[in-house]
Amino acid sequence: MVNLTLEQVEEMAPDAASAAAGKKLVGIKHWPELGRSSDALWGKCQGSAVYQVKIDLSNLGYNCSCPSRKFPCKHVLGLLMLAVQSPAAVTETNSPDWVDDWLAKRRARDEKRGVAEKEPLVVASTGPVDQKAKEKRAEQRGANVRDGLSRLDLWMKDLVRSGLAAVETQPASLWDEQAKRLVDAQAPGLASRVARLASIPRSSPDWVGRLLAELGRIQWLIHAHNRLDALDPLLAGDIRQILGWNVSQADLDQSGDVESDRWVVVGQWVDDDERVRAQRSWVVGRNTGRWGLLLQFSVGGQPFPESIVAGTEQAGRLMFYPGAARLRAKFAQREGAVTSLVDRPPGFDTIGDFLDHATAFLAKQPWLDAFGGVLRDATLVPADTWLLRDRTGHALPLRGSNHWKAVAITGGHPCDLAFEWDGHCLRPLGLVIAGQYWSA
Amino acid sequence: MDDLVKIALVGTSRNSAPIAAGEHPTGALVSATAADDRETLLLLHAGAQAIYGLAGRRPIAGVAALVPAEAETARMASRKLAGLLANGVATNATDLLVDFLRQMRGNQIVVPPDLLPLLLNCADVAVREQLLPVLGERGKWLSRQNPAWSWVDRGIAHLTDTDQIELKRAWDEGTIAERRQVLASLRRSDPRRAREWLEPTFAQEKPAHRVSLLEELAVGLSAADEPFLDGCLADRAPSVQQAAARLLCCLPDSSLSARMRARADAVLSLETNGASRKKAKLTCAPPEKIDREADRDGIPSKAPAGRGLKALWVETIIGAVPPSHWANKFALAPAVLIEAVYDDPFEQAVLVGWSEAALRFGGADGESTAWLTPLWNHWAGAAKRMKGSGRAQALERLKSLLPSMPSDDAEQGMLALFTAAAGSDHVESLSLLPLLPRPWSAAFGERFLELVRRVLGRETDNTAYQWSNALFTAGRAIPAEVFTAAQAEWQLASPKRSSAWHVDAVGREVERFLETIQTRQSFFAEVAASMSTERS
Repeated sequence: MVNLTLEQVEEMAPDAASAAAGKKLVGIKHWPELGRSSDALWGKCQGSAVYQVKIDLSNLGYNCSCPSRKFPCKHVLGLLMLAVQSPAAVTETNSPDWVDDWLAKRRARDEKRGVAEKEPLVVASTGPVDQKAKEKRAEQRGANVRDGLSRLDLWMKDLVRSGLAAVETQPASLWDEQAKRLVDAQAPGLASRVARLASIPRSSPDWVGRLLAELGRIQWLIHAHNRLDALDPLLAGDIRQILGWNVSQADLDQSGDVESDRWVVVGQWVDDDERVRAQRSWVVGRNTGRWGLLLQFSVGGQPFPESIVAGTEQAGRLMFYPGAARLRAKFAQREGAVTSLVDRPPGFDTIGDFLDHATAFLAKQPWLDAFGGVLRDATLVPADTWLLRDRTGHALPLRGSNHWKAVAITGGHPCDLAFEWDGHCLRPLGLVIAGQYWSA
Repeated sequence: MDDLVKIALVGTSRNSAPIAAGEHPTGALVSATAADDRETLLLLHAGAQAIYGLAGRRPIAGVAALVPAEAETARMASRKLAGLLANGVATNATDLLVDFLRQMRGNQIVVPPDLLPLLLNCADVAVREQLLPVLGERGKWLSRQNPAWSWVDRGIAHLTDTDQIELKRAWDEGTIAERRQVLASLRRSDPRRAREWLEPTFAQEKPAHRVSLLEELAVGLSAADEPFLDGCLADRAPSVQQAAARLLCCLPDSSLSARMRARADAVLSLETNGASRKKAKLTCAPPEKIDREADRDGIPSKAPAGRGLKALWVETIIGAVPPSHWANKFALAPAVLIEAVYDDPFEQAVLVGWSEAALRFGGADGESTAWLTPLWNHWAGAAKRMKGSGRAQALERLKSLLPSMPSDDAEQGMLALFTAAAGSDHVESLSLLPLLPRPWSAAFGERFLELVRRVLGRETDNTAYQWSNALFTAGRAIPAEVFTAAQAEWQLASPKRSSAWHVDAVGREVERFLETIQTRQSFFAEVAASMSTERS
């Protein structure tokens, strides 16, 4: 049983054309062979050749023998849509060899990864020479980053010395140039933080204040980096991640913060900045009420490594990245099948409650700039600046000015609305009303 | 923070005020950093205060919620139906969308809420017309939340006081297009007030704007408008005079209508051959010249190049009188009167006048509607007989009559055209097909598909291609009863060497036709399924 909605399958499509192409394959006549087991869903699709389509129901992993460079391709989408729309058309049966082989390979690979996670020393003990070279590279990078930060420090001082008013007439390349220098200095995380500043000038009447605030936060980052050794190791880890150090699998294993729960994917959006697409999915545990952010990246139209679908839930173990706030996470293990929401998602009853929650995180890690949440019994209020209102009449501004689909779906009645808060406005991600999940 | 922003705005080099946190609780934090240059101090203070502000952010209080929508009483479309509808919107397939919405309306199924914004944004009039009855409670509620969707209310409710204030503002300050729209909306709910808004400033508008504003008065036209329109007959611009005259002649009791009737009576007279009225003969005697009053009544004093002035007078005068007038006056049927004018030197002008009058008055009076089909028959005959510009003119007349005709007569007329057509003539007849009222009757749909099958089974040249093109319209117009007939196997003539391109193109058209039928069939089936689950 594929427990998803048609909309959720459409959301998985890399673009609208793929979704439309998938819909055309929903007819049973396109599928000379179809079947499902407790683990998998498969079919042979008659295209310009016969393609073998396989879907792993435990994590919505997929594979198709077609040459398409879209992921998932239209055959995968078509098969999922068919299974969602007419479950009776797909009968439960023994899986053929070509499905078993693929599943077995996947399981073997997962297991290998599992072993690696448990025994990080296997990776680390590849020889003393490598180890030395690695240390040298790390040292070199540390020096590069320090140089990059001190150049950025000088540049920011120049900026406030000559006045932020001058920024108004500067082209966006002002920020890009600094971002590029930081990439060269091997601090890509900070680079994209600086690049994002380009959107602030002239964006609102108080843009000078907002720009000054963000520059100020970066100044604190530089200050903190200068005395990294004196900081709490977890916060120091956060700062390294913000600057752009990746967390190695070994670090992840050592941090050891694994939580078992039933994880609800309450909302998702993709930040697309031409080169890199970043998929941001907010999850919350049904039992622990713990929040996490699943981040996945894709370069050059490649698929995201894992299928994470908004409005679904699955039991499993989530591994939280080391840091003071411990918000970012990834699946260490998924258990059972992915299903659509079985119940209302956990969330906050009032906006006040949510802001307290965000503040608690901010107190641990003051550079956080995105907080996911679900407001229960929320309503949208259309106006020049749209508002999201809680049941006590308190509200926060929404980002953007077209949330009519959400208004239409709720009809002004309360719903559970998932969002991402950036400290200024809320980005609605999805909503649940009458047991049904809708992307916003 | 405000003090810091002031310094940052002009720059620390120009503002030498001391950089201090004042009483701000984060002040100590910055002092502890031992930063000494003014720029770093400024940035650290700003950053600390920003994070402090973020952590202490309070929501806006006392926000009122929308009054929620009433519960839906009608059936809601299934998700599958929603998917098919969404495809129609996404692919911009307006005719399919109209067909789907019509089908939903027939079964009292309303649009699913998530598609409402997309559909309400459709600017196509045909879509809007079909959308209104399937909006449901939710759609009507939603349209009231967004001013861009006020067209829904304009159609289904009177204007509220706040709407009127908004309209008045748009009327006083808007562009000509907006003002036309205001006038149109107001005419629908309160024709008198609309006229009263228009009158005071009318004379100051440009002539072209005067014409376009006048045209909006066609909605809600009544005898109360006569004094104002009569005044417009004295307008400096002939185009405005003519626009006013066109409106006045639609008021049967207006004095202009009476004058036009008198002029028309003087133009057309019936001769009967002795005592037997078997062979009636109508004679047309246009006036020798027109007086100042006729000129004021919108009868043109100059003809465009290449047109006879007298013929133009006849067209204008006859076109301003309901055709039912003649049937009553001479006590003869429309078809008899049409034949009675044959061979008169002004035959063409009289028939053009009648055709325009039948369209103008057909909606309001049934006796004038009865003229549409006999006139169609006349022009169809002319199209068959004539060549060149005469034929083109006849086809133009057929085109204008077709959408207003009773659909039975229209279908009969089209079938007659197809069977009469020979050689390449049918290409022009096929071009009328999209104007035929939809959906077609089952009988016409079947008959038409037979005709197409016959041609495609025999021909491989451009003729076959033209007929296969007509399948585009047929795919959207045939009713559900004909789907099975449409899906029976298509026998296409095998290609001769020279015509492979045409045969390929025909094959593609047939394929597209079958796809359209398939899409509509699944939609109809889903509508039927929603109905049966509702019942069980």
